[in-house]
Amino acid sequence: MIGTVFNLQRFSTADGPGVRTTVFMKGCSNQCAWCHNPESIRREAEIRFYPDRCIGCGRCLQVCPVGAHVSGAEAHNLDRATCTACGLCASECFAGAVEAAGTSMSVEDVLREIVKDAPYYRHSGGGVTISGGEPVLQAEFVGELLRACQYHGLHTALDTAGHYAWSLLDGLLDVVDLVLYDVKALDPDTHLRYVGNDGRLIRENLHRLGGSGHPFAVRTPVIAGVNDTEAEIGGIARIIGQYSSLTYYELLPYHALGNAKLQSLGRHAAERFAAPERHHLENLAATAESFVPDLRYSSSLARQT
Amino acid sequence: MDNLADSRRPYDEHIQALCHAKDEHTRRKLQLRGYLDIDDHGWVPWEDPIPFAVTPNHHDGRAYGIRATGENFRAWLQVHPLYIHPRSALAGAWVQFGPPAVGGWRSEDRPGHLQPEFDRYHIRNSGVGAMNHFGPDMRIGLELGWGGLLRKLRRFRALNRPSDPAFYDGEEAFVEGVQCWIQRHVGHARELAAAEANADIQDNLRHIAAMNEWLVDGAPRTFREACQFLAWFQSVDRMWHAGGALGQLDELLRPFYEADVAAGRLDDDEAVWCLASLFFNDTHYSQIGGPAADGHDVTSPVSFLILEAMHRLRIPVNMAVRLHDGLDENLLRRAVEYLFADGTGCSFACSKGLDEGFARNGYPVELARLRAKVGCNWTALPGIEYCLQDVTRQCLVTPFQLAFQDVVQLARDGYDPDMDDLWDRYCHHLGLSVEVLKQGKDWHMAHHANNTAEIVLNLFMHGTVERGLDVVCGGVDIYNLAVDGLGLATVADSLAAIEQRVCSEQRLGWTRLGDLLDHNWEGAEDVRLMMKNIPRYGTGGTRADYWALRVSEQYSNLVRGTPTPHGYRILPGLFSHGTIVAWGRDLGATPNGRREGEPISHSANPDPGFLPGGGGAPTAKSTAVAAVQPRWGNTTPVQLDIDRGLAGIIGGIESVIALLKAHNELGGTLVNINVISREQILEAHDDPAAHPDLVVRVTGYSAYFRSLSREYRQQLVDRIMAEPR
Ligand code: SF4
Ligand code: SF4
Repeated sequence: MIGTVFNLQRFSTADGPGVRTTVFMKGCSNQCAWCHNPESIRREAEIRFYPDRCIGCGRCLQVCPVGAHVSGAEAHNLDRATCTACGLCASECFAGAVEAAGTSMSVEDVLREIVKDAPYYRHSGGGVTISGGEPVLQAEFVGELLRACQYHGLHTALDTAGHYAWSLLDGLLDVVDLVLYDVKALDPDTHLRYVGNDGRLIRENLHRLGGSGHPFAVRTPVIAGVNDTEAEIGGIARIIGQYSSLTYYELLPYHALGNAKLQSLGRHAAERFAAPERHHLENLAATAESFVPDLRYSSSLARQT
Repeated sequence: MDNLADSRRPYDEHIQALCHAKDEHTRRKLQLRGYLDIDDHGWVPWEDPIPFAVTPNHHDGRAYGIRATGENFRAWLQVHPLYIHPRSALAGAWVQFGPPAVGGWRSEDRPGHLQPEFDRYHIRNSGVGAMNHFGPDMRIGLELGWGGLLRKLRRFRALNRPSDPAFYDGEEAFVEGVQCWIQRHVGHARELAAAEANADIQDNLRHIAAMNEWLVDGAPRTFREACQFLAWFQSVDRMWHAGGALGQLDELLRPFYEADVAAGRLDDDEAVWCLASLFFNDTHYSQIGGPAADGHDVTSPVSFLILEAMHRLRIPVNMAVRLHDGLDENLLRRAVEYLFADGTGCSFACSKGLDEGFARNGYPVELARLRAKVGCNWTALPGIEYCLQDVTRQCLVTPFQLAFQDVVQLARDGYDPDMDDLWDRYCHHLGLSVEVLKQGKDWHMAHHANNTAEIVLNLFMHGTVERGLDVVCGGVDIYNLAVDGLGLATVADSLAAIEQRVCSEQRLGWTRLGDLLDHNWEGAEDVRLMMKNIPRYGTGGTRADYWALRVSEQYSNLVRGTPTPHGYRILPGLFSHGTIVAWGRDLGATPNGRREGEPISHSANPDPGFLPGGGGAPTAKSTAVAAVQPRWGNTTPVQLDIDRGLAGIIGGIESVIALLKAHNELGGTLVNINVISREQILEAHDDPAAHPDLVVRVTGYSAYFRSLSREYRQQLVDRIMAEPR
């Protein structure tokens, strides 16, 4: 079984309990305007190009079957219209100017990486988290991988945004110890504008997940001017607080890591976003706190005023 | 509550004043010396000339041997400057290494015959003539006091009636010098008190005078007196060739603390002030927590007070927490929290790897547990073992370079070499290099005491005074000398790069690679990067990881497999101190893509940037370094750089604790955590390429700092700068 993975993050400390390895699957069913992992959005392989790292060795020109690398006197360009993202140049570019975003990996390949940190999981109550992108879009691969993880006695978490047919997630629950469910906004207009859909399916699946009694946590990226209102954060807390299987609610202040990555993929952010200010985040947290069993947030990540 | 706050306030003010004084000292020391690589030493800046002239016993104008050393030491302490900070609980400080022109090695005793081989194998620290680097049992001094030590010397002199009483002459003169120095401080404290307007400070100075009047001869009776005794020891130990080992500090002080508290004459705030004053005096290497001989954890309230004193003083203190399965969870947690809060703090010595490794030499594990971490990388059985760790470096890279040259020559001669040929030549050169180090060890053992006696530490060992023998000459029963290798990753990555690019993929031949290295990769940057960009040591499961383990095992077997020609056992470790820049400066380019003159790799740590794409470095590094431990009781530390911001993230502290526990479980021996400070982050912001391994974390994501946009780096800089100091 082969999946498309764009990153494996060891010593991940904020995607579930303890020290974890987070596996980022490529391909997403949402289009969040602030996405900090833009290479996760498209399912197909992509090529990252960092012209400032190019040393002009010409190896890419030699291997590219379609002549997509154009080396002029001044600059080296990648013609993305011609490039088929075959990845040949990336494996020949030792300067790191061309990199493949997304690798095909077998369950065994990924598992081999995951078990490397087993002693650290054991001492921290950690384990593995499958994230993305939207990992549920590769449900078959994810199911097999998580089953193998459970076989090795590892705690499993699935970080999902819920925009798909419920049956996909339902089929995975027996191999997931904890679902980390992302809810970005309640207001359909806000959701449509920033995420690319009105969020109805996500809300429905949230209720199904809550109703299933399966342990889950909810996470919301808090973005200034988008969803940093009492109505949004308090509203989400009120909805999820009704389910006894909710373990915690976490507010994640936005960060801008995604912009530089977006550029390397030949794309640009349409809008600029910012984290909420610290005291504002604290007020939102206070509102949410009354509805949920455990409210988590790191105020040090908020904007300092 | 108010009363409690009131009682604490004067001690807080005292500690603040010590903190400012340390800052001021550091500034003045920088002005005096221009640079300071070793500011963890407690010397105070002193500009006036000291009226001392050595009485030499050699035509080169220096004094050698224990008698001349003791007599000169006494004369030196008779004139050594006096120092009392009025807000310290303790008197005394040293101002420079001394006595001047005493000790060192006579030219005729130096191992000139070994020098050609030392040069050939780039042995910059042979360990010949090295001092200290073993551990005293300070209980001896705390039980006897300086007067008791003097009487013990006289008693055993009378019992042994040695034909050459140089040992007793020298040691007695030394103790008399210390007593004189203390006595002079008594007078100084009284003078300062008489001139002092502030009643509290005047009181303190009078107390210091009375306490030291007793300590000239008497053994310490209270917690504060015990700290004062240790301060005098630290001062003379450090000035004598930078000795720096103290021992299991919490256990040394616990009996005094318990007696004082039971008698109602000490509270915790005063105890913290005494400890802060001790650390202000000097930062000798010590350990807290850890197993007793029977395995039970020795953590006590004193262990926590030591952490508290470090936290309030906020200066670098060379303290280790001894990590073992039974360690008090609260102590570990507090140590990690303070490390992050202060940006500086404890290192973590791992009992499992250290104890099991030492026991493999044939010692009972009960004994192994007592081997305390009392140096930057090293451990010693306090009072009973001479080990001389951390002074002898085996450069793993030079033998590799010679081996590679041999193989390139084979290729030039028309032979088609393979990895087996390279490995054979490597084993050959490494073997010769280890052999000459062993000969150096024997030379050291035969000649050291006649040149530079261990005059301070001899007093705190079991057997030296009793036998009238210097610790180097049979004064103790246990001898485990040590060698520390360095540059493991440079060699492992080079071997893997050759195996992959030359042997498997055949992208270039041996001779072409040899030419490129000879010309420092000139005109072949892409080939250099190709050699560098292989799956590297530290990743786990790669060929480079395989080679790292193989090199470590080979080195370890060569060092530990046979004793020196005179029969001394040597325990291998992998540790480079901070010297990788100097080591690399003289070395040509290496097949792992390293350019000529660049630093070689640190200890057994993977090279910076070993994981492509960023992230995951702490666990990967920890696992890699645990796997290549020589496992004979000598240490191979892992150096972790961790973002201070992790402390502000939910689960951050717990993840570091898990990292430490797992490293211990995997058989690692020492963890040094480098918490990224404001200064470092600013530096890295200006020149991210120079900090390739700096991993920063925000929410669930981490990234190499250098890979972030300027704008985003600025955001992190702003965040860290905004945190309270
Ligand atoms: S292979 Fe890389 S470094 Fe060489 S020319 Fe192409 S992009 Fe530039
Ligand atoms: S990915 Fe393939 S098609 Fe695209 S530039 Fe590289 S070699 Fe050419």
